Amino acid sequence: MKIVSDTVEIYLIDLNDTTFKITTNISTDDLVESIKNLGLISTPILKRKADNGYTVVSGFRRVDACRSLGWQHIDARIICEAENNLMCFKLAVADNALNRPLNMIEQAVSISKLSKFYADEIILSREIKKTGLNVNPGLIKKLKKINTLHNELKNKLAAGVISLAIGLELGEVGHGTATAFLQIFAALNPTLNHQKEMIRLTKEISKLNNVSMTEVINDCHIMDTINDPELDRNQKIKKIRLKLKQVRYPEIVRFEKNYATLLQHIQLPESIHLIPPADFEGNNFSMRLAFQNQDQFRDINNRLNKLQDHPDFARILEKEFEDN
Amino acid sequence: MKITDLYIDKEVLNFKETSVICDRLNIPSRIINTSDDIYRMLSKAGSAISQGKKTLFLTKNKGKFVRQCPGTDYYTCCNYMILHIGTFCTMDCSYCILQSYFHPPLLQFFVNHDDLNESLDRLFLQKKLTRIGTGEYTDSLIWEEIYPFAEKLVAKFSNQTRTVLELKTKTVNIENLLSITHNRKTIMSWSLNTERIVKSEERKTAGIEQRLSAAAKCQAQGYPLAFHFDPLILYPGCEEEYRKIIELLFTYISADNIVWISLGSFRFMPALKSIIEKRFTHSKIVYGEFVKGIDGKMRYFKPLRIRFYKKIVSYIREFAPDITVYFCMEDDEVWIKSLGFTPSEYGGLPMILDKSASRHCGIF
Ligand code: SF4
Repeated sequence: MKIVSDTVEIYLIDLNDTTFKITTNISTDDLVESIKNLGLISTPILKRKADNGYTVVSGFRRVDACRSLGWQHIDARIICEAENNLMCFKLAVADNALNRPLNMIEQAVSISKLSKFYADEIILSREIKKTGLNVNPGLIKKLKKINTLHNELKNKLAAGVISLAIGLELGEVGHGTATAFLQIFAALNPTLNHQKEMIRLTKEISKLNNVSMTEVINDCHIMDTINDPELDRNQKIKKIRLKLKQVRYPEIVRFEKNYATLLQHIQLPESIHLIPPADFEGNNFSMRLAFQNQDQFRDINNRLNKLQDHPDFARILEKEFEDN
Repeated sequence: MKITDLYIDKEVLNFKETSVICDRLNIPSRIINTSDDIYRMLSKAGSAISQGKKTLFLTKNKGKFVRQCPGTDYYTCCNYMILHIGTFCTMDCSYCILQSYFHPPLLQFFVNHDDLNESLDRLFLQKKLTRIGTGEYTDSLIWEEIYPFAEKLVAKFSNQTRTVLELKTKTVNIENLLSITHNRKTIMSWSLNTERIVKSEERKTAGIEQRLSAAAKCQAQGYPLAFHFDPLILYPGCEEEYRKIIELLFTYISADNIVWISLGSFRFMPALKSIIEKRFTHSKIVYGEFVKGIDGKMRYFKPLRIRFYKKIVSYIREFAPDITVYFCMEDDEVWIKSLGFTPSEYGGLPMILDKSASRHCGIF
């Protein structure tokens, strides 16, 4: 590809032509300051058009910033009109990706533009890697879905407020539900796993009970919990998760509650920790004993001796928690 | 059986089984050197699983025809043998494990029946009693429409005394089998479920009354029978509905002719969940109270399984107090709490089933 450096009249550059545009950031304030102080360090890349004008391949914000500074001319790297668009797209991705990490939306836009030339995702992944953007075929599939998301989600993704996984999950639920979850996540900032769990449980309850996800959020009083001044962030997250779990898994939660009650009955000291089989599926209970000297060990031993005949301990081991 | 695409492995082009199937199907076929072409085509199909149910590949079983059923260490397995005649199924059950078992799933019918017969001859020479079935990687009787195969198997098994064949199905393709000699060495078996589950989760299968009336016809011809309540699916009101099916079973079938009834609650590898959600959008079966079992499969929370099994066992016992009921892949806790004993008290599950097979099938 032949690129020549030249100085062009700035009004000939068509900023409305977004054929090669990748960047999501439209603010030029930071750039205006920098160009005012240091000048234009990296020149934009333009493609000459048939009407003697120019399309921006890379550097929309730079051109815009220079315009707002009142520049009449700008130094640029010029690609001739005959050059094919694929090379220009690659150059656009490469120039952006080499200057800064592309956000999710920018990656999605890059994929969308280049996938017109490469239908096969494995080949696309290989080719895009040459531009400095490392996306495997699995990620390409997900990024393609981003383009179908509504703007609110795209903005949150671009700002890095939500992860790609959450963005895609929320893209599959109704707009109102997605907005509700965005509010919940903004208010509580739960871990990614907790976010996923909240969405999954809500979705499954809604399917099970033939109600909308928004109704589930309302019925579980999630917004009330968020606004509860008595609770701190962690307590709110815990309460919401427990409520959703109670509705989604009523029997399991009831069983676990009964187990907790029996555990209280047998009054184990802190030095004896009883560990039930995971999800009560296996049959092996185990114990962790904590002691520092023989006296403490003796004490634990005495407690264990008493425990062996405790009827509630027998019930625990038999997993008979049904009717406490 | 609706096959739209037929592929033939070059190696089996001249097999007599191949020509019978081609004549019966009477659709254009493609001869291929390697199955990779089909897999590539299927992976590109929008719905690979649905396409796989219409795409038939006639080929050789290049591995073993007779295999051990893949049980797991923790849960009690019945030591069943599999007669590997083909893969996948033309019916479409939401819970079908085969959807995620093969990548991608595809109807394959193995036509090297000379090799199959040799494998069986070797099996028949063994001194020990063997229970073997064709219904593990496919339905035993779907193939009847394109190749009358079951009758050949029944005839072959009728000439020996150590092995019992189980043909497990949700079809009613039994007509070919009614007039042949079986010497009670073939157990005809059906999977049963509630009307609601059959309707909502078992697309293209025969209705419950049809299955039971097919079973009754086999009973009239002296075939030993078996029934599988697998997967048992929990939903509000399910207990009453399973009770009705059990009652119906015993109006059609005499308990004396039933070799065994198996019970298995719905369990699935986690990968199946998204397949079901995608392919069966109205299905709710993956939203039960599941936990991850010790074998990595999702299973109903154990106390729920036990409570439910107890009920089902009591319903069965009402009609048939002495019938052999067993659990498919459950541990001793489930056995003792639901049935009142562990298999080891009777020499292990294989022994329990062997005994019932010898009693009903004249195996020794
Ligand atoms: S009948 Fe059996 S093999 Fe066929 S789809 Fe249903 S579960 Fe799968």
